[in-house]
Amino acid sequence: MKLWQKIFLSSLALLVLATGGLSLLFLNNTQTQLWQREKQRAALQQQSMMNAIKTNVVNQRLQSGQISLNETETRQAVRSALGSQETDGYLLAFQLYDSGGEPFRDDTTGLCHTANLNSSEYQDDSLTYTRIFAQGDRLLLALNSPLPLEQSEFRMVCVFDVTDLGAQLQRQAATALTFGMVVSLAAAVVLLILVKVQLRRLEQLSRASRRIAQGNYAERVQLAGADEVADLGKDLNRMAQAVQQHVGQLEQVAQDQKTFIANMAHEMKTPLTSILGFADLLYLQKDVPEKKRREYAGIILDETKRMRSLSGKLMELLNVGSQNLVFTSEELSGVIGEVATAMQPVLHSSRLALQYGCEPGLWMEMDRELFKSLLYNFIDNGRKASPEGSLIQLLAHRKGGRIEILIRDHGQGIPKKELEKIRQPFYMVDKSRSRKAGGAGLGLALCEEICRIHKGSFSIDSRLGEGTLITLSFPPASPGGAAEGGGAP
Amino acid sequence: MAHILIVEDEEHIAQMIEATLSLGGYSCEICADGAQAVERIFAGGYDLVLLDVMLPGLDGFSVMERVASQGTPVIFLSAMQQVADKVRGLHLGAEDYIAKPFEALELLARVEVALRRRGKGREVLEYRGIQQDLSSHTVTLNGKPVALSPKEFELLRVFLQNQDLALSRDKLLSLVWGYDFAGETRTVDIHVQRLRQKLGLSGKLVTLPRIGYRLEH
Repeated sequence: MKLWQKIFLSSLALLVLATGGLSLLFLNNTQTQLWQREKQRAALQQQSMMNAIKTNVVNQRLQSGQISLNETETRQAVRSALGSQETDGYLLAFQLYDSGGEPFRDDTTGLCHTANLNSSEYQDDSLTYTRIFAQGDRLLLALNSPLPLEQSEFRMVCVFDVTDLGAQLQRQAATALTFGMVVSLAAAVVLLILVKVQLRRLEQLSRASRRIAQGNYAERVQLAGADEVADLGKDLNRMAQAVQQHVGQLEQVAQDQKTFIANMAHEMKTPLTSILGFADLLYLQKDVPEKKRREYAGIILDETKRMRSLSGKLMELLNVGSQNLVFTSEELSGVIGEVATAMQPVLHSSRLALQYGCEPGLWMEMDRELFKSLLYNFIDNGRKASPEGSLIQLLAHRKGGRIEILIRDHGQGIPKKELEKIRQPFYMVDKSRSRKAGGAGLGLALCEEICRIHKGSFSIDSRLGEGTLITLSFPPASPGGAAEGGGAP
Repeated sequence: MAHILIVEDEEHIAQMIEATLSLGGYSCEICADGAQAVERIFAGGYDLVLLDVMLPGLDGFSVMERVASQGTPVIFLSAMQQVADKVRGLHLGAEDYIAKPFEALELLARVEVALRRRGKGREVLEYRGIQQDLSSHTVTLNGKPVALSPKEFELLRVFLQNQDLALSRDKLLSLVWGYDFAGETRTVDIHVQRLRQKLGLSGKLVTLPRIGYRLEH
């Protein structure tokens, strides 16, 4: 059942019960009072009739000059007294009974008998008994009161017509209840309209949620007002914002992965073209001269090794975060010295000089071997870009609360528009030169990953024809503390 | 003999293409730079150009834009297989667009088709007493005409253009019947039998067990 139906039905039920209950209480009260008055009226009339009879009998006694009348005389007097009494529109019938229950007159209506108030149950002398009963379409009130006369006990029964009162009471009840129902219904309807107006905003929320769920993450809802429903609207907007952001991030990640795989597939096609081509040439021909056979097979071998190297670098890139890394606090000058010493032979054969230096007292949390390979990578890039006789510089110092490492070469530099792209996996500025040197364009991507693992970053500043400067930035560590670690942070 | 220019910066691939084209009986030159290629094409003397898309400096598409007016047929070679690239290449006026990596026979077949389209292909193929005229669609054996069905004709052409090469049934099926053909390789066997009978090739058109067929010199 819908909310508005629930509200409508429950408020209606409540109102009906309330008004009904109140009406009944009220009605009960007034009706009781009205009956009370009616009985009093009837009793009064009965009383006056009884007084008249009494007076009549006393008169007869006085006229007789006796002190009291005997039984027969009393009966005689009563009979004649009764004779002078009459019924009217209100008092429909009356009867007098002696102590033995015998009636004294002819009651042509038969109502007193029908009233059935004369049985032995009703013979407690001091009390008046009443009975209300229906006859045909009339409502009748019968009173049975004791009438002591002279030495005997009599009982007077009167039957009154109270149809009017009955009808009036019925009308009253009907009106009250109808009125109650109408008011309840009206109130419930008014309440329903008010609720529905408020619910309209809920519907707005509902529609907006549905649209967002369907993928329209930019959708927002504008609700009027400043109450709880409006707050809910604001919350929904906040949630949609978060979802939109996350979806954007996920889409970006998915796109990056897609690009990575596409680039990887593309890089593999080059060696595969040679391999397929030469293998096919060897396969198809019936007789291949020895020289050609060795040439073709040699190239197939070379290109296959190239793919092996590519595959290896890829695995390195993918796994560098999940190897078992051991992080220790290292003094940087020692590390720099080792790197410089290790690079000397390679730089010497390219006829390049290396200048290096490190501020004393610099400590850093690192996986020693991995960090060294990072520096090797950058220095090697510098070497590949520099002409003979050129200089490569490796310097480390403190800068603004962080450790800064600079690697500078005076080689051919990188064009400005390539600078953003070179960190992308597989991107190579000069493909043929890189491939000849055995590269696959993964070097900088690997460096970025290593930096990230060490909670650092690097920036590249380069000018064509002048050289390149790599600036690495890492958080310092407190001296001497050795950190045990396994796995990437 | 058609003379072909190979524009490719990867040395091994250029060598491979050269070796393949020699097999097909073509003579070739290699060029590793886009700008140089433009000059050489305009200098003339080539019947066909095989053009790599990924070149240092001037890329393949740019080269094509410059030489399209010159009129030498061009076939693009590229690792990029997207429809957009193929469409772009063909719109620029290239004859064909081949995706790397490719098989030797595939390259030769496409080169053949491109040359034929420009009237520079070999129109008449000869093998011992057999003469196959591709333009008039006739075959003669020692001067006498031989009736061949369309597929038999094509199959003969493939053998004559690829003498001494091992041709697998699948390869023959795709070269003659097309890549969409859903039939069995038994079709190839039946047609080879017919060619042998009609042209007396039983001795020279040999079966390579489990591999395919070869028409020997």
